[in-house]
Amino acid sequence: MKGYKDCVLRVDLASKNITKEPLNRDYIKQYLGGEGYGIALLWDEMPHTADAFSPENILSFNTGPLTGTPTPSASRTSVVFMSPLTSTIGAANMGSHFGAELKFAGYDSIVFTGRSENPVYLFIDNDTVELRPADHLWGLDTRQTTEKLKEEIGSEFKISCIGQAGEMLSKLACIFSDDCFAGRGGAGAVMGHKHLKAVAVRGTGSVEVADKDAFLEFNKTAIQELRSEVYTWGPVHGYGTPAWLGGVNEYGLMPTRNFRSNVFEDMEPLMPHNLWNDTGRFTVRRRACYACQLGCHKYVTMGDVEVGELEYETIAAFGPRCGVSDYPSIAMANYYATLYGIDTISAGATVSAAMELFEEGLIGLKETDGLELKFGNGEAMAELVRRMGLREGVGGDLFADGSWHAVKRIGQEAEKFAMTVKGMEISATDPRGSSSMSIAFGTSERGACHMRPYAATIDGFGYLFPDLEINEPKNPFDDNESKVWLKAVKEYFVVTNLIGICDFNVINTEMHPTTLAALYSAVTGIETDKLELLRKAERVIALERALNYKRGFRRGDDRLPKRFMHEPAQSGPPAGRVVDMETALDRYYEACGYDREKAVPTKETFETLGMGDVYRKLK
Amino acid sequence: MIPGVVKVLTNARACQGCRACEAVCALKHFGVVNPQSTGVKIKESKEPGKFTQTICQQCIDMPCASVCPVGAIQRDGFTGAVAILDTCTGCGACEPACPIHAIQMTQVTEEVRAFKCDLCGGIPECVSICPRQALSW
Repeated sequence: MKGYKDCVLRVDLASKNITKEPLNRDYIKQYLGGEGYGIALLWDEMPHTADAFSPENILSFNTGPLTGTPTPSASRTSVVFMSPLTSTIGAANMGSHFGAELKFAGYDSIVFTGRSENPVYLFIDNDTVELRPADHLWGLDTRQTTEKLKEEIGSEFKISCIGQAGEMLSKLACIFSDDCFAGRGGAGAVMGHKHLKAVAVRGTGSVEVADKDAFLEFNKTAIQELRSEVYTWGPVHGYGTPAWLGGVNEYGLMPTRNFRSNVFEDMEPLMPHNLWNDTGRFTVRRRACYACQLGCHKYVTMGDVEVGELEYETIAAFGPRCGVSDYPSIAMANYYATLYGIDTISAGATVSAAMELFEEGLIGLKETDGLELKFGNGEAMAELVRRMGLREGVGGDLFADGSWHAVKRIGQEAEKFAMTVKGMEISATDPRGSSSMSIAFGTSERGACHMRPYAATIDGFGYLFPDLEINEPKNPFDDNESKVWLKAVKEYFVVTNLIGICDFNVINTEMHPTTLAALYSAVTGIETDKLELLRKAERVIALERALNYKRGFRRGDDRLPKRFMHEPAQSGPPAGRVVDMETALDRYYEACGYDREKAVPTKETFETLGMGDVYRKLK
Repeated sequence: MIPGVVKVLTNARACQGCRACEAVCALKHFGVVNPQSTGVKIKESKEPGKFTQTICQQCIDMPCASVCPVGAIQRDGFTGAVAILDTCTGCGACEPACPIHAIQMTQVTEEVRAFKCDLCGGIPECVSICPRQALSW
């Protein structure tokens, strides 16, 4: 079993006890690794209804078997936990060079249990693993924490840490690793609750590959698949994810002013060339994650301000969603979100909801501490993000936990303005323009997430994916169309989280599942085909749904906010369209073999997956 | 040090710091991915997004070869690369002799040995995998 390091680091933060153990072979066989490994731990070891902010919550950092190899984008670490934002499973996936370093140090996963009484950080230098005091780091922002740690222990260490937002238990808090983020669901707040400020790792060991020659051959195939997709290897490779802004807007998929509209009329200033070419104000440099061909990750500076990564979702959230069309405001909002460590998607969406609440008169200057929170006010937008990151003032505290938790505090009338599913803010695709995205946002096990899967590529933009049996174009406006294809795409996206590569290698149907299966086989020596990979992902999704079910989640929680069912899309191709959510859910549950009301796999589906034991525990 | 002409060329402005070159180099030569056993080394400077690339210049005067006590560093007749032969004893004399620190002492197996770019015996894998043409041939 090459590729895997066959070593899990167990860190009990309460007793400060650190142990090492081999990988659970059943987990690898059933769930492959990565996100699947973390979810299996939650299912087996955590009381299923445990509060996210309790010592019982288990926080794990999980690499995949391909992490650390030269497979394109084999950088990924899946952070798994129970989410304080949604109360569902939490699974946030990050790039950077952290995951590869963890593998070189000799570990597949780090599993944190319990809660420390005082702030600590985990120090890993190959075999040496220590919990060290972090009182001197507590209160520092993400960049300060990283710099201070590197000064103390060496610049070659790779650091994952939280900022002040995580310390103050903001439910939007993320984990920062060199301007990459385990962003969604409040992983940073779980670290903060556990008083775990950072993890620092250095590794000089090896990741072994079972069949080097086969790997090198299939890796060239994978690279060729990436480089022959014109959109991926052209604009996205050039500008990064902001290359999506223009196309998404043209197809009527751009959330605008809290989804009041689906096309932003002032997009031109936000087109990525206007950022890159504005050399008087901005410097943009490439800064790729480990082994990444695509290199979407960029580092932006604006004068003295180290803005950091500006990507599609961030620009869309702070830009069109808030009616803002100037890069300096968006850059400042991103800067604050990065420093204090909050998810930019949810942060932008929350400001957007706050703006609508302000315009509708449901909150006033008292709640915003004097900010004129009108759509289009970029300065106010960035300032609210700053205050949210630090929980500063009435508004900063009110919105620090995201829009859903804010509207709950404001009152029932406000609830319709939270564009969330399960409490997580919908990311930058308007579901009225893509039936598959209605389902993806609705049924995502971690709340409205754009990566479970991003399927607008297929039904919105018209891509085919023969290796996943998608040979005909799909209708983005037909909620009654079979969604068997969507099940396959979702499973393939989840495969990337298990195996340790980035979704951006499959999002435009680039890397074929057959190629990925060949790479997995070559690295691990475990003969696997694409159907088996998809089957493992199907199991992980089933286990996630089972865990959510035990926490009370049902069909009703898989619905989009009412706006999408009652307010038609304003313009662009989907103009006039609303979502028929019940029909869409029926088609998807059918495709997956789920019970229509319970929204979990049926007994037969569980048994087909070899998960009868999980079904029996649902009772 | 008189740099050779036929070698892996670097373009610092194009490099994105992904280190795919490091990974594939180690894999090609040692059958494992190991950050300490690569003939090409990418380092980020203090300015995020600026990277340096270190790789053997296949020198004409071969300062590394001139200090090798067992004559294990020789010009390869096929590739023209300055190659370290299997007779390397891992004594470490060549490592400081390289003015640009392109030689690493590695220990993937039990044996310590010197390692650097040998042009992969003809077609450098790092050049093939580099997504930015930051390494070229």
